[in-house]
Amino acid sequence: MDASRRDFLKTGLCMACGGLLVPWQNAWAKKIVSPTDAHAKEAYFYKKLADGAVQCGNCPHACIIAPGNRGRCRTRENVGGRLFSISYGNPCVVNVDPVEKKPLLHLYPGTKAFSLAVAGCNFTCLNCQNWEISQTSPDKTRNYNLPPEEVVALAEQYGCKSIAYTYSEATTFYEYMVDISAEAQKRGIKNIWVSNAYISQPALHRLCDVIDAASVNLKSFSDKIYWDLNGGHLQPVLDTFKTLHRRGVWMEIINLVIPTYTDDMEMIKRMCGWILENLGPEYPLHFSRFSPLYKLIHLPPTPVEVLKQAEAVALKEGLHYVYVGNVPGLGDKTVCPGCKETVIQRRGYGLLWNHVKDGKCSLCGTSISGRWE
Amino acid sequence: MGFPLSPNGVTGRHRFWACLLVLGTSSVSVQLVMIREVMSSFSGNELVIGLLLGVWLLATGLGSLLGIPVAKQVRLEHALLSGHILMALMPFGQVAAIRGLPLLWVRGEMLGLTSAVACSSLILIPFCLVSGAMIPMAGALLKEKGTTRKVYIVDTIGDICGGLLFSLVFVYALSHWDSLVVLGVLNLIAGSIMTSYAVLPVLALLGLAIVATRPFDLETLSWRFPGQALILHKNTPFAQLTISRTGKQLNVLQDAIPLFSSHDLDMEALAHVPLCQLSQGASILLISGGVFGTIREMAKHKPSHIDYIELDPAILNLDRLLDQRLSLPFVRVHVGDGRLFIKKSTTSYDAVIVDLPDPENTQLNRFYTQEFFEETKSSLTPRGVLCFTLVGADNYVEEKGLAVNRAVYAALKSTFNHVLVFPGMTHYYLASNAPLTRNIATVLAERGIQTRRLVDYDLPSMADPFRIDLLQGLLAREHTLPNQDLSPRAFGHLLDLWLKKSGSPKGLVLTLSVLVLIFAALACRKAPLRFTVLTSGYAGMAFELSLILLFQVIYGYVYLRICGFITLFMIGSALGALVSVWAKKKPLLQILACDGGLIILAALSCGGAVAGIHVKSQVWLFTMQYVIIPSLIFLVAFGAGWQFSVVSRMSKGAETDITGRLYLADLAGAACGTILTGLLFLPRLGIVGVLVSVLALKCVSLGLNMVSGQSKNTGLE
Repeated sequence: MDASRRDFLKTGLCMACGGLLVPWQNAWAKKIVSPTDAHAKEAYFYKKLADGAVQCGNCPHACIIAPGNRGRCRTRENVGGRLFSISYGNPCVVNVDPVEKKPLLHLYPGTKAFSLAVAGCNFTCLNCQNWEISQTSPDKTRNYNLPPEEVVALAEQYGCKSIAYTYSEATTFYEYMVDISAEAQKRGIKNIWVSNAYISQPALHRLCDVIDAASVNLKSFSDKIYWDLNGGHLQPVLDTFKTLHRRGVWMEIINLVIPTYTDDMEMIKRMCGWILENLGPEYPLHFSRFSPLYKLIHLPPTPVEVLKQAEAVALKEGLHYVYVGNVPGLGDKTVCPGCKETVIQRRGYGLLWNHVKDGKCSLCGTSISGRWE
Repeated sequence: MGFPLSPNGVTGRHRFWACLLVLGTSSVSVQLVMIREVMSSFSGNELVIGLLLGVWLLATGLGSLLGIPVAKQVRLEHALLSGHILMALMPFGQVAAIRGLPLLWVRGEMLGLTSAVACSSLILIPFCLVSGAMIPMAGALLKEKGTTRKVYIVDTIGDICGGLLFSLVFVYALSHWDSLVVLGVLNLIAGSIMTSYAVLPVLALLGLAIVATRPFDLETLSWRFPGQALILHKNTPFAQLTISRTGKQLNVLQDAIPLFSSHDLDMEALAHVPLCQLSQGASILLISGGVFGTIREMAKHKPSHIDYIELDPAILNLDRLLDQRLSLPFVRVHVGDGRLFIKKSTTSYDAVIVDLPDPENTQLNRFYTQEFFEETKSSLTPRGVLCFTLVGADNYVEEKGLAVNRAVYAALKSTFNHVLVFPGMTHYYLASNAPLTRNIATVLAERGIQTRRLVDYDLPSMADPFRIDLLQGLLAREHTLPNQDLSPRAFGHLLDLWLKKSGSPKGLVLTLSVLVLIFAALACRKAPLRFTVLTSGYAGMAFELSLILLFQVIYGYVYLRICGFITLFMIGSALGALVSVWAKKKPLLQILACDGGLIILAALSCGGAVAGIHVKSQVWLFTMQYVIIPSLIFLVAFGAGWQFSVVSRMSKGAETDITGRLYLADLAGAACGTILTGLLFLPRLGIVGVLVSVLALKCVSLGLNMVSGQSKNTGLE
């Protein structure tokens, strides 16, 4: 009888361990993609390895993916030794937003951006605002069927100056983004890459050919914090900033100030020093207020005074355009670095007035960095 | 070294009483302290708490099994002294560990179910094993027949003392740490009765050491609030409230989760979206949240009066530190349950605004049900508006969150002619029998009302027709079952959403449930009588959960009344066991009668639940409140206690074995009741489903007892 009791317990324990080990995104539960699927597109950057495995070349994770499996971003699958993006033409979110919401304050102010997202992300940010789409795969969301040319047509139809690849991580639907951007470029529509900047250099170079602007996150200036909070590394992100700068892509840098993580003024000072040295003083830097979201819920929101302190540090370091984000009433004006007068006044995401003419301050003639009508 | 008192005769009885009373008192109080601590450290929700409570009961049951051999092999007084010392000291380490363990993870991160349950279990199980093992050991002090029944009665009396002490004294007057100091000293006093005078100084020193740990309370508490200066930390019957300061910013945290911070502007939408539907000068009922700025925003619409009701008076006291709007002449403050207030109110309101968290437990679910919406409708003027919020998403509502919204939307749509949902990180629901407007910004501009965030930042996307229509289309799916009082579907979907959000393995709850069932099966293997006790343990827990929820649905969350019901349940158990001693004949018949009685009570409760929520007459409401529900609770406990006692009399073997094994079966049943009914049946099948499960299980027990009675196999070794 004792033996049978042991067997009984053993079986129970095995079942329990099995239950605990089965991951949320378990392999057996996912839909297997075929190369002929309407939304499968062979990846632009990958390497074939031995035994049918492939190495994704899209982002610095450089996932090695066995046949039938997917990369960390959940959007790229090894189908018979070839790597496919599984969500081509298959966005789950489509909206028309003010460009200021990206946030891009020096890019055609007051215009609209046709915004779309496909599920998936190569980061695992604990405070993700869009975790519903970033921490899942495209075959688990309700999607639209929108080939690149239809996206561009819709952007035109809604009078959008630009198309923004946003909400989730655009790098994970790279092929779709590049193809839409190329089509949009032909029709004079601008392309905005809203990203965590975690992309491989070859993929970035090809992207730079077709995009006009980037709203890129510099989530912290510490590799440890990058790993703990976001599941990535700092250096590839810094490399992305340098390349965007070299390639002449307009960018605005977003830094989320999280209490006890990224609110250290010394670190902010070092970060601003790096920006100044490697990118110059012209790119806007946005300090955003943190709110407890998704999994990072045991920290209070960032005190406004800390954001103002960060703004002061950045201005003192020599950056020309520094904004505070997510705090109504702050960050709503662009000040000319020459005459210190307000050249653009916003209210919320709306534009009240714009005194930038031909890229210059209409009051003193100082050049205001950005992309203007 | 000799004992000052003989272990036999009267002195043994004294030890027996002292040990079990203190044991019962400590285990219940420590359990409540630990669960509240876990709530704060591990973002505790019903899933974590339910599983943890299940593990607690199982581990205590296992402890009572392990106590059998120990009781036979060691000197009882020594073992019990060690037990009391451990019970006095361990909780401090456990609280410190619960507060400190999350620091091993990413600071500020909400842990998933696996980490939360695994860590808390590892921390808590040693205490449960010790307290469980002491039960048969304490029973062995008596060395006479019928010990198990006496253990059951005295332990239950201890439980009653512990429950009352915590609910009526500790929670109001002491911090968790100080409560543990009191319990620690009690255990040391009980320990002193087990030992010689020579050891007393050691125990006294230990007592002093325990008192000297008090400064560690704040020290360990601060681990939970990194980067924040603690201004106030207060226990209330409902939660742990904390006010902290980060720079100039004040933060209010409930169970360590930020509830409000200076510069928060969420209240703008909650106040203006509904009040823009009405003329100025409206009469308003605000359920909760008023001290966080909502009243300040409402005042901009020049309301005729605002009735503001808050369940936790401690929240009202925050007004002095925060907004200081409760003294406005048109504000009338009430303390109590919002739903009960609506039920009793004879006033008609132009707006009822509910500012409560999502339906993350059955208590909160009551504010999102078809029945609540109907009650609210009858309290509204013909053009009156109901407004509340529900989990949303910035850009994409995923399936679990959508299911929560759909269940509530279906309930709302079946009650009101017009329903409008503004999308966003939080969905703002409006319902009325009059048409509703989306043009909030226009109305605000007409009234000259300024907002800091709503008009310029939120409304452009909240009131975007494309987004509104898209969400409305998703919500209005046909054949969605509405969220109801007796079928809290929204609560169930919200648990699913939490599982997904926290990245918890989908099968964990099921796996743990299966493990508990396996454990329960082992606890009563080849022993129909132990199975009977197990089913009674299950029935007790299932009845308690269902009837208290039913009471809350009808009469609101009345803290003292609910404490009273739990006490009544325990009194019923103890009385059942006590009274059974006078019925000595035909024990099998008594067991069958108890099974039958519990079956009848389950059926009656089903009927009572279905009829009770529709009761409107004051006579019936009074009868339900003071007669029917308390009687059902008492009778169920009485039956279970009686049955436990009779089974203990029928069982063969040494008394210590009987005590240990029956406690194991009883606690395993209670664990099944907690996990299966609380986490699986109640959210998915509703109260009636839970009661049907009791009915079915008790029918099986009855059948087995009839068969084994015929074969004369009582089944206990």
